[in-house]
Amino acid sequence: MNTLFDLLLKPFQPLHPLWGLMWISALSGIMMILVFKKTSNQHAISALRRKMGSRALGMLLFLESPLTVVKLALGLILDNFIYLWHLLKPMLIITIPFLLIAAQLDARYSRQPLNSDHPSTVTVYWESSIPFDVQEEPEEGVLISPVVTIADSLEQSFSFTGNNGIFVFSEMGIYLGSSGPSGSVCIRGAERSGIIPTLFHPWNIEAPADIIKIESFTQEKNYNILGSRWGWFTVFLVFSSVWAVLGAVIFKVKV
Amino acid sequence: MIFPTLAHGYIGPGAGFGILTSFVVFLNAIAVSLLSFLFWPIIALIRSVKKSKRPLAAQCKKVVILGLDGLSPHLVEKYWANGDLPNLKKLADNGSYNRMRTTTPGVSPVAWSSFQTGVNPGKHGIFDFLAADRKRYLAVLSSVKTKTSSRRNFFGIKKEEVSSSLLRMSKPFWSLLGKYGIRSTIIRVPITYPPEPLDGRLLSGMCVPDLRGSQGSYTVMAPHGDKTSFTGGIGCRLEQGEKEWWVGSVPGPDGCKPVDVLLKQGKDKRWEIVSGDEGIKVEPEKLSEWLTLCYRSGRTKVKGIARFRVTDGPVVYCTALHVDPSSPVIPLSHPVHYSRYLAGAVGQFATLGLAEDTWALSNGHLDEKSFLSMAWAYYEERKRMFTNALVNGKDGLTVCVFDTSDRIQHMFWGSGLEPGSVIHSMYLEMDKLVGETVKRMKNNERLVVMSDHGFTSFHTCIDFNKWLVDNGYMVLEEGVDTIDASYHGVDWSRTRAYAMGLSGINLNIRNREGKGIVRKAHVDSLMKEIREKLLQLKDKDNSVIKSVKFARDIYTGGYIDRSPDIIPGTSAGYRADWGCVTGCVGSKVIYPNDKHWNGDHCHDSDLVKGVLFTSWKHETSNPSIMDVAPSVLKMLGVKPPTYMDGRVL
Repeated sequence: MNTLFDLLLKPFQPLHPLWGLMWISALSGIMMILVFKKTSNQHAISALRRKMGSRALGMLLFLESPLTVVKLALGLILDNFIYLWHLLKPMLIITIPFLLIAAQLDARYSRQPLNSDHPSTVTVYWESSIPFDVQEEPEEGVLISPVVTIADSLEQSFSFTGNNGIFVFSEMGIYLGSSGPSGSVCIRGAERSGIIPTLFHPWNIEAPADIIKIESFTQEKNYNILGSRWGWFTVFLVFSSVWAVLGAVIFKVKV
Repeated sequence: MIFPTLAHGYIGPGAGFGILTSFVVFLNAIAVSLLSFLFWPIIALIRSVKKSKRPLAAQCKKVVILGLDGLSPHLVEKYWANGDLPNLKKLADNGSYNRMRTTTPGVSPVAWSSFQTGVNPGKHGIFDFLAADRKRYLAVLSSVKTKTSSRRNFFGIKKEEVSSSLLRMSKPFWSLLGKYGIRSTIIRVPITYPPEPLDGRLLSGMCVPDLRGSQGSYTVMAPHGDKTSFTGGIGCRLEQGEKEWWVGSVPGPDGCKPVDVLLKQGKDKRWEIVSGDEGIKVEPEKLSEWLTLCYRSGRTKVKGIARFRVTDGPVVYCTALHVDPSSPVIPLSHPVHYSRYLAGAVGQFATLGLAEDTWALSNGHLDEKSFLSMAWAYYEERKRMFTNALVNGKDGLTVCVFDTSDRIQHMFWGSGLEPGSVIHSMYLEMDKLVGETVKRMKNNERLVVMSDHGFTSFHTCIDFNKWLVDNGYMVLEEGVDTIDASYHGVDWSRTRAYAMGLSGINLNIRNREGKGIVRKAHVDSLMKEIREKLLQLKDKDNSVIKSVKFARDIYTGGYIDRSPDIIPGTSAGYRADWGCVTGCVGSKVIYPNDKHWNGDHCHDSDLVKGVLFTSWKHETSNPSIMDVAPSVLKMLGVKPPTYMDGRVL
């Protein structure tokens, strides 16, 4: 999946991460609104919207009669549920591709690569016992704090800072962070494989046999938009929504 | 956790907006309900203070008026004799039934104007469908004046605006009710366009134009058809497009590009009709549901709705372009959003004043079955609106006029009145409607079922202009024998009288008409002379004219000058011909009516009395349509104004 998305997102790699993310958001927004158009009952949504609009107007028209207003309000709420029912099918259809896209974007645009200013913490969960001969082999320029071991829960934690974004843990060669091109996957840890983790946690690599999982807590990446700092998801949400609205107008999608 | 943490609440923009708006709608519903409860005491207090000022004690809480246009007392009584129309019979037995005098002439615009104002035509100024523009000798719509004006907007750009004003004078009685806090719901009463403000809700009826600005212009599209225009509609070519699609362009309002309509017949034989992003399916030869057609004039969208019928060829019939009630380009209702509310509550509906396409049936572009299905479809729409008004209008006044009865009698009178006929079935349906309405009435509510006029046959046309020519009152220019439009070819310097509209003869009076020659001193003698001669007009042994009335004798009020001077009342079966209504002159005075439109009511008004049923007993004999307004006012505790000509029943 990572390879496929590497290919799909290749055109955006030369761009600044923010621009890349904005373009991807725009395309995702338009794609999803088109999928919504194809998979939803547009005629029924249109009729229902008219009906709901009418009930709302009715509430203003019959303001002098609270009972009529309540009747219309109940009708409106009922229509609302029918409306949500109409949304269910496109919602379910969109969920899977959306989660794949979101996971990939999260893996590529949510974290800072390792840098010397901010330490990152790594926790290793061992399966049966903690080996005593743990040796960290930092690359040049990577500093590691002393390892803290919690024997009862078979956990080991340590923090590190670095410049080149690569950290090799023991003999496993785990690369945390990324100094690769914009939009490449930033590895955050390891876990035991399975279809779901592979698809939806693209930032993790396969954990070795004696380790349950490795988690790292690296710094989140923020994007500067007009002086305010936005997380990747906010950027994605806002830009995909704006483009979806435009797409809905252009392609005449009833939402 | 298998999913990205931040994405839990996000399910794509489409559905995301949906859920967000749905939440907003939910909050809105709760908020408005709460507001309604909060404000209700204040609104109720204001209303009760207003109501307490009523000079009379109210006899009931609510009055419902069910108008059945053209319901004839002769047929009601005939069908009663067969044991039919049980609901009307019961209403008559428990309350009252009378043949009701209509106006002179007994045509809908005049009669319904008198109904709503309680005054004679001399006070409301509507004397026919058409009125004379005396300066230019033109027939213009009597009830609406449309004006185009240009105005500069904020950016200094000149913009043309079309505005309409209602020419019906005097006040409708529901506006008097509003002064005392009594709300009204008025649905499709003729001559209420453009809608006037009132305390309540009003949906305009007769005279609402279509998108082309006419009173109903349909479109016929055929593969080999050229662009033509004919009475009641226009013809257009249907082109063969790609992949078995046919493409036709439906012309819309002036200044707007025609809208393409695409058609394709599916394997199931049904036709798919698409316009813009909307599509409908329809069986061959059946009338479709409404389809929205969106026209553009610059950046302005003009939305219309139309129904389609596809026959072999394919030949496509498209109804007149009704103004879309859910996005009206002209005001259809008061308040403006009432039509939007109704469109959502009862579905899209016909908004054109004369919605049933009688010309298409007369011209052979619709068969009888399709015409009837159209008429009954519009009836069902109206019924849903009426039911909505009955359910939501707890007190005050509710008025709804159904045109179906009028249109069906116009078009099917000639096919018989006996049980089993189209007209008989229509009367049974109207009776059923009355029964359903009565069931909804409560003890402290009153019901009026009425028609504005009755009906008789229309088998023979009378060309009054030809008669005037033959008798020397109208003179044509040299070499002119017949006239096709608007008096082109009349020698006004020698013409003393001209016929215009369905029931009027005007004198060509000096200083009143553009090229008037008749001196005021000669008016009396000329009118009497014309009356004497008209009364002698015979078709074989039959007297063609039953009465000839002078406007000055039968009307009172400030608007008599708008009336024709002489109003000939034709005998049953005879009516002014189609051409002389708008200033044509034919070759024969009397000739058979070969049109499908073979029932009518533009005769002597005594021949076409309407019906009046009331759910209460009254002793008034020979009631008039003008009596309804003062009676309802009194019933709801409002003193009828002295200017009203009607009596309290």
